[in-house]
Amino acid sequence: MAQTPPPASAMQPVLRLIRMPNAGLAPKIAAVVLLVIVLATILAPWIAPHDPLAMDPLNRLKGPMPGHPLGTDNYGRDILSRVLIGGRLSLMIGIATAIVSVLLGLIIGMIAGFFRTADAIIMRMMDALMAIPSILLAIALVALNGPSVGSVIAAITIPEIPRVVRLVRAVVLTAREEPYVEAAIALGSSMPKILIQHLVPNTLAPLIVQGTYILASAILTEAILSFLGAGVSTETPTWGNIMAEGRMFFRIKPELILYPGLMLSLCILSINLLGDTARDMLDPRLKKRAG
Amino acid sequence: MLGYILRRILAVIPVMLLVAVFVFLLLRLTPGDPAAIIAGDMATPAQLERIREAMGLNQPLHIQFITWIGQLLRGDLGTSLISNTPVSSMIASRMGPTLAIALLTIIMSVLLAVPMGVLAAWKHRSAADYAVMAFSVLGFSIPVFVIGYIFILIFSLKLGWFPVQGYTPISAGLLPFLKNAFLPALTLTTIYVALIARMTRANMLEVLGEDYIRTARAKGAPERTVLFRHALKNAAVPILTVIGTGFALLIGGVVVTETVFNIPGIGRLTVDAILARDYPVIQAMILLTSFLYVLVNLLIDISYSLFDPRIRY
Amino acid sequence: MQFKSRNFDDAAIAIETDNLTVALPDTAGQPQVLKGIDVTIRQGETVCLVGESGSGKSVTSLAIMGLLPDALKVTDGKINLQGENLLPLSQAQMRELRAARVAMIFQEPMTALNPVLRVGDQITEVMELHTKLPPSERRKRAIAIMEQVHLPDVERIFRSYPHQLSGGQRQRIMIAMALVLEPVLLIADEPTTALDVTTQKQILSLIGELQANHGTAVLFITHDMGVVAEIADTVYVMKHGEIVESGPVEQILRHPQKDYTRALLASVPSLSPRPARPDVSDIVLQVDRLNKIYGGGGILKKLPRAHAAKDVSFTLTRGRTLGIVGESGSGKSTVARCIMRLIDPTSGQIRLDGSDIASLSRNQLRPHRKKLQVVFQDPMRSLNPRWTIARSLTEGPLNYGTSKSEAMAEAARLLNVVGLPEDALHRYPHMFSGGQRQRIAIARAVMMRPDVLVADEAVSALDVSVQAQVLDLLDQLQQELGIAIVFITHDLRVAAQICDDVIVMQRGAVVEHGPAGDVLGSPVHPYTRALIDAAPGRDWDFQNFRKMSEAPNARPA
Repeated sequence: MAQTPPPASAMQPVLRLIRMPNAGLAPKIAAVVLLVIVLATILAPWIAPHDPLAMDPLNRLKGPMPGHPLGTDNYGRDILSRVLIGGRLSLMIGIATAIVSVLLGLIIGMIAGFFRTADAIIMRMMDALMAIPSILLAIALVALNGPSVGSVIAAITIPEIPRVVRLVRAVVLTAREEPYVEAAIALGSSMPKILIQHLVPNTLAPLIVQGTYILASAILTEAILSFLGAGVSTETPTWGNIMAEGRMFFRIKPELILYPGLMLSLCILSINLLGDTARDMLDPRLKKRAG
Repeated sequence: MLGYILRRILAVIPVMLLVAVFVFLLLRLTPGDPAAIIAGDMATPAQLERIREAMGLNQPLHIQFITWIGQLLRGDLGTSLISNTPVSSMIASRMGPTLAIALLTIIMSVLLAVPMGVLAAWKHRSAADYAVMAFSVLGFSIPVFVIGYIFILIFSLKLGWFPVQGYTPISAGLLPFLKNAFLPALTLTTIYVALIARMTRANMLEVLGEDYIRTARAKGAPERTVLFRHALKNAAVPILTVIGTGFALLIGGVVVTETVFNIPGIGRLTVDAILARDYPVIQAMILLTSFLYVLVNLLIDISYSLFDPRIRY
Repeated sequence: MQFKSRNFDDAAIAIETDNLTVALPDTAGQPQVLKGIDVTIRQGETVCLVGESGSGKSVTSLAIMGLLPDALKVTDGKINLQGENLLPLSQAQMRELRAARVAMIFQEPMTALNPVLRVGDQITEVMELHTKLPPSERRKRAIAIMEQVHLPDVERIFRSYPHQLSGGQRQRIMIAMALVLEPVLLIADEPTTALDVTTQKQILSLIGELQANHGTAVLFITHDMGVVAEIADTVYVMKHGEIVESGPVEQILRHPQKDYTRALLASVPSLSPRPARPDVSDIVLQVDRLNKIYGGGGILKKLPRAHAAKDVSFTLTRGRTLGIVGESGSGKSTVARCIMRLIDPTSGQIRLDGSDIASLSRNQLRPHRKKLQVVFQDPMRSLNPRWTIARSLTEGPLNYGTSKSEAMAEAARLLNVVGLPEDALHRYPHMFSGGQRQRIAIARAVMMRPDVLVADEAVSALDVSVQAQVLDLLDQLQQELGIAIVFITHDLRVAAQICDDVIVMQRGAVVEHGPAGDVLGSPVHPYTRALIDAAPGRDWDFQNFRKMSEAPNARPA
């Protein structure tokens, strides 16, 4: 029991995660892979061999060759450069979605968990939002608002919010039954104070985990939106719209889908693995079983 | 029991109503003139007026909403702005392929995922457990269309076992149907299995730590009995739940898969409608799929009582 | 007190452990959890394994069943069942033997039965696994054993699910399941700890009755010396994985040889009430016709109404302790939570220092909160695990405008008073034991200088030795500060030691109310009498190693 003490301060889960004690090999590899991908996309403008938008009509749909390690696409653009640059926007959309949906979900979930009157209405609205298939909702939102980065982020964020709200609300409802919260009421602490000091820290660990899953699923959703023709306009490459453009040429040059697909999958795989590791480390129930 | 079902059905009504409100507002609250969005940039004022008239956009919002709901309740889903055919008949003609593939997916997924999850939980921290977990995290990490293209590449183009794209209805025979439907269903199964296997494993792990499992072992029950008679039935409710909530994932997956495999289902219909801004079709499709989702989850809710006697009343 | 004094020397040995050693092989240093345990149980004998939490008594029983958790391994010794060593047996061989020759019942009847299977099927399953009886015969035998454990209306219960039965009924089902194949040995791991005392008494006598009929050997694991006195033939006292002392029950209770055993016995609170303190006229809390009704609402389904507190009235004066005793569901915690205004009473008055707080709003309540503090049952959950002790202790005073430095100084002083070092201030709750945390929770309440302290089962989760220390602390604080205490408990022994006045509650209503000496010494209401009658070991004066009636100035019970 005493081997793995519960998190002592609000920041402790974060510290534990960074140190990753007793994590297996897989999450460590995942962390390295993710780091490499992130660095590569950040440094893309400097390390990419070509301008990702520069066309070369003489060298269309070529295989690997000197100067084009992964070959070229249907306009003769360098695939490697496009994949590297494309990751920037994909990752950015994912991170923005994760942050916005976690923050909004936290606020709405807190309100639902603490104010009984608001709870029923909020939760029915969340049920309704969850009932609308998220991909359909997202493509509809993008189709109506235009293919800008902002509308893509909004379109992916909105369907993610209900899950965060449910999570936060569940944590708050459990925590407010805890004797230490009742003791705080007895000690005369005001409701906002209890909410912020006692309850919010409880949501931190599950939100870190949920945030990583949202990050992964947002990158995935961006790709699907682009693939269906409802993503960021093709002037800016993203992993998703590179693959969407490659659809037409899939039979002759599957690499147009496979290379960005591989990058994207590796990236999401790493994030998901890190998310699982975080969950196992932060889940008090699993800890109890281990101790 | 009947009272329970009735209460569940009543509880669904406000959710459906809210879905309708959301879908309705989706178009109306979009910045800009909905008519202009629908008609595109090149529309003449006369065209815009015609669209506004057709959709009743000149009337106050609540009147529009009530009119629309009234039409829905009479079974009138509207008329496509593009093809001028009733939306209901468009849906009816495209429903078959989607339902067939979805059903095939669910059957294959449950048959695969539940045993995988049980095995992983039983042999916790063994090679089998890690294999199942690895598969499930992979299933979550590869975009469904990439999986689809990889399958086409391997099974159709390289091995030639299946046709590359297209669809044959069941009415043309089971084998021709399966030849076309198997790869799309397998593609969807990959992600669905990932979800269900993971949930099964997590819940079985939890149940296997319960006191009554210790009791079953203290009775001298063999592991098979412990797992399937004592544990799985207790883990059934959350597994069913995830099959239900995963239905949303399935709908999203169907949309993508139909595009990859060029299947004339309602998924493709919806994407085409959205891209063409055929708003009556969009409204009807989102509403219909949401309704389907709610219905599936309602049925699952009701089926809980078959597995857990505590939920009966 | 009539101890069991049967002689088993001639009976066959049912089970015997020889130098049984269990360790955690994968933990650094491979600590031993059991260090060479020798226990012998003969046919028809009841052996009690008694000890505090962490003593290794449950590990012993699981080792015998071959059901140790994966982390634990038997590293040495033998377990001989009727002369046959069980340790070399394969898993399949052990399975054959479980329930058939060695059966076990567990502490939590609420969770030990499978919630999704009918209880009848859970009993017949034992026969399905171990015999070739046809289904009709299995059912007949299940019904027969259910009758033997005195379940009412067996045909109906046979078809019931666990959640439709009471805790006592579920434990009877567990016993029926354990005994249906007439095993040689029955292991009972705290089988009555989760039950009310009146139910406990019935279950204990049932086990005794079935043992006499079937000649079963019983290994009974408990932390409760009262239960030991009631049922044991032979007692083994355990501590930290070792047997401290063993012998016939009367010898252990009358002439304990080891200091640990003496200390353990001495910390069992006596059932004879301590003398009441002088009454004063300074009323701090007056509860008048308090009612709490749950349910009755519901839009789609009429929720069942539960009258959890019916016209509860009492008065508490400065520096005195009022005990509210009763079994689960009696409404005692509802009353406590109403007084604390953690829930809203349906009707009635709660006058705290003269002003009625029963219907005040959250904001109106704040000035009164100070005077009314609480200590909860579960020491693991009553402190915020993320906060330092200092932050927890100063939370209240800071709310009422005390300066930070002043609050910190007071926190340091009070930690000393409750017997903790000052450096505890900057540590976190998980670094303390349950008893220490409960002291911290008490200090947190006392920081507010309350007039009234509500203690809701505040010592129930603690081992007896720790319990005694915490009760002493409460007594000391009360004398120094003149706090009035409302002490909610199910344990009559604890109530007798700390209360001046006692209220006995049953199904939401007060059935008896008066000075502790009268209520516990000469109860009037039949329910109070039944409660006292059911208290195990009530005739034995554990602290003085003698019968109650042997005390110099004993008054007839």
